[in-house]
Amino acid sequence: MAVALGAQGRELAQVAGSSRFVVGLRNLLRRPARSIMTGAAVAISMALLISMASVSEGIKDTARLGIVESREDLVVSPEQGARLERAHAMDANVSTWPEVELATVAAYHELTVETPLLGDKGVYAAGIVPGEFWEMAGKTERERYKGGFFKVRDDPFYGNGTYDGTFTGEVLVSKNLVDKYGVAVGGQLPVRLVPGAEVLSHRMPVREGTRAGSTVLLVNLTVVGSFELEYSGSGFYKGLAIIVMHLSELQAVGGMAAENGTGGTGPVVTDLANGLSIALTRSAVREGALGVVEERLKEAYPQYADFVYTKEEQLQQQREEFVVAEVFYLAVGSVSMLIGLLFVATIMIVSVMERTREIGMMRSIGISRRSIFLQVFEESMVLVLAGALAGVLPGYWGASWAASYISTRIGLTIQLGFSTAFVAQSIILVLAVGALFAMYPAMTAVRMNIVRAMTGGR
Amino acid sequence: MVSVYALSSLRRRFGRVMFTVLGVALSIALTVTMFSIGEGLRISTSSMVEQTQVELFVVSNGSAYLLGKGELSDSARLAADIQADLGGDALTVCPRFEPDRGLYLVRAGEAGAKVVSARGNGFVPELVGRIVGGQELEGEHFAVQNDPFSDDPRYLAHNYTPEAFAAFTHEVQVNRELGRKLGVGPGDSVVLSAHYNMSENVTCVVRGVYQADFESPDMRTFRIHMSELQYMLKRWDDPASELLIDLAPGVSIEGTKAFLSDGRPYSGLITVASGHDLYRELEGVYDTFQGFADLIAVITIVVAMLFIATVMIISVRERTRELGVLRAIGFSRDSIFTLVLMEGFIIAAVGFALGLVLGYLDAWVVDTWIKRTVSGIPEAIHITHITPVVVLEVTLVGMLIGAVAGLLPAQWATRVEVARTLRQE
Repeated sequence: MAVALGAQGRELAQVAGSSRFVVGLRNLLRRPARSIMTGAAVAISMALLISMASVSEGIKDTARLGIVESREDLVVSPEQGARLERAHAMDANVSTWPEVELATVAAYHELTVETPLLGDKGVYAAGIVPGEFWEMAGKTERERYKGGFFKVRDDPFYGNGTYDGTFTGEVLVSKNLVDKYGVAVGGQLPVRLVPGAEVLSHRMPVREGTRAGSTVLLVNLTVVGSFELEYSGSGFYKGLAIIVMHLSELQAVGGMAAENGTGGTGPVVTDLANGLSIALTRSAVREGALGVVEERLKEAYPQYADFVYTKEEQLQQQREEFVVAEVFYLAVGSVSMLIGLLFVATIMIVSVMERTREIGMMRSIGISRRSIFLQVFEESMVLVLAGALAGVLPGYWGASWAASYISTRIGLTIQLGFSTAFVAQSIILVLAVGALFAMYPAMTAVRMNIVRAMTGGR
Repeated sequence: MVSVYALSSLRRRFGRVMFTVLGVALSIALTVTMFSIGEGLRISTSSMVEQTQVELFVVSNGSAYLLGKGELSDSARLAADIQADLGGDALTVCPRFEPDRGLYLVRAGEAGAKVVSARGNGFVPELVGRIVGGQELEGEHFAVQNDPFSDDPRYLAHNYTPEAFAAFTHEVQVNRELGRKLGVGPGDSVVLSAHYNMSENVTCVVRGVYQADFESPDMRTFRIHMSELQYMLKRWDDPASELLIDLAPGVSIEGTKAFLSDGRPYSGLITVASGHDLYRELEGVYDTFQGFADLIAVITIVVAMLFIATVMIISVRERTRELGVLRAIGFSRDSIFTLVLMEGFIIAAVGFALGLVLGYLDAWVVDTWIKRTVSGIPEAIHITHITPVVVLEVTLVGMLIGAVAGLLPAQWATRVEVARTLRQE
């Protein structure tokens, strides 16, 4: 019985609801001009909100993906002029810890290469142990190297810590070096030894060259592949070129492997590097050993205690870097959305005022306050929804335009964060805030005094 | 008379008028903020370039100046060659060595004091002179103006031995953050070493505390005589990160740049950039941002105009009868036009004033918040900057909103036909 009544009630409510909806829609259509203008304003605001938010998501995601996907659970990354000293030894030591599945070292240095088309070019060079790097990298990072990768997976030149093993000379170059500077994959790329690196020159296949009258030492590298940068090589980043080498070979060429000993004695190995990445075993992660390993690391290497970061901390740092862009775009989007919704509220107030008599009439033939409230409310929401839906496509266009604009002008390629879920989220947000705004005209309609409404007063 | 009537008719529709004003105010505030961000970045950059008093920057060939640079070798000789070639045209040619790799410092005479890494900035005080930039906050300048250790036989013979540190000037200046981190000020002693374990160290006196131009708040740096920094890092090639050239007044910057870049014996080793080049590189980024911000502002303004126009059109249509009566008692079409236009204008003006105040507030909040949130923004950079130009631009926008949004309804209002509207009753 109760069930039957409930069903009946629901049915009635549905009929009442749908008829209210129809009345609301008819009301909007009675004043097409203003409805269209209001809808258009909401659509513009919505478009701005969507495109701003998706650009901000895009900027964030572009940067975050590499960290999220990578298997690094901990990194040691000294800053403010500090370096990892005796990095290979540190790597070897940490690798023996039972919780550690994989550890790998990377180094960075600026180098000068000789390019076929445009002569000397300053590049950022990264030194990695290819096999370990590959294991550590995430999917997106690996895809970057589909244009070729190192054939030799380990780092033979390091030898037994003496930097006298096989010098592979393998190098990967960023795409702009190929496109703009004429560097050929499969060809040679001469790189200049930085001053101070001569200390190991007798162990590398160096040749002499001249530059403006003075002698320079060069090593010929073999280009084994090229890769895309998220910096497209235009705009502000047009000067940015990157090469990737074997770790110990970069150290040797960049003067990070050894230095002159005290009193002019031969080379003393320094083995400097910029970062150590550590991946823990799955069971160690499950057992929550991250904190333990982090503490042990800080204890064993107090000099780097300030520079140990977990993945979470890395993401946090990144969030901080992008928080400004994020908040900026969201703020712009929301202010514009507020203006659009204010517009709807105003137009609905006007409509309610105009229909004072009509509403009074409805009240006097027994239509409840609740029904009137809902009718006005729904009318507003129809406007908001229609505007929001109309704004999706322009929002997408806006976002694509903004992304390509940023990409050509600044040189940072942005993956747009534009998905169905994202659009649905934005629409729900607009509807939720729109509902708050729609309350006001609906309340105004309900609070109307019947007698005065019927006699034409306000 | 008309304005009083306009005001009273706005007051009759207080609710919707307030909403409209709020909408306009929000869009004006957004416009102010958008315009001020572009202006702020532009002004900061150009002042950064002008402030340095360096007309030309010489870096190693092929370097992109703002994206890291290689090093110049044999910098003293190169500087002397350039100075000789330019003669009186150059007041100073100053090498500066700011290696990526830093040193470790610790407060002297305190067991267990924290060892801190920092990047050194090596230069010759007398050369860098007035182009050093930055601000000396406490203490004094270097007492030894030249770079005496560069003549030391051990330096010249590339013979590294920590005993040679005794021949140093034993002077450093620390930046604010490094001073804070070490807990030292002028007159205190600090120990420097290339190693974390502080082996092969030298003790120096902190001459002063400075704040470099455009340094970020958490950056730790120190200034030291150039050859001493080179020696501690065992660099024998007399490296420099860049040469700074201060030209005599009236000397052509572009001309000198062209002269140095081509045909000189050292031209193949160097890339020369003027302050203007650096500015242009940064300006490209700001222009991009500004274009973006302008577009946002325009979109918002369009919405605001739609807003006022719609509300005003509705108001006019509601008042067909009232306007008919006004016409009947002798108001001219012109007066009606002015009346409606004025109503639109009042909304726009109040919205504008409110929006300007909100915008000022907003610009200030944005500036403060961004600087507090993001570490690494140089202190002298103002993200937002409300200049008279910004205010003027926004005022024009406000007037445009008022005019466009008022004209159409006003035009509409004049077309009310007296006889027909009155007959309808």
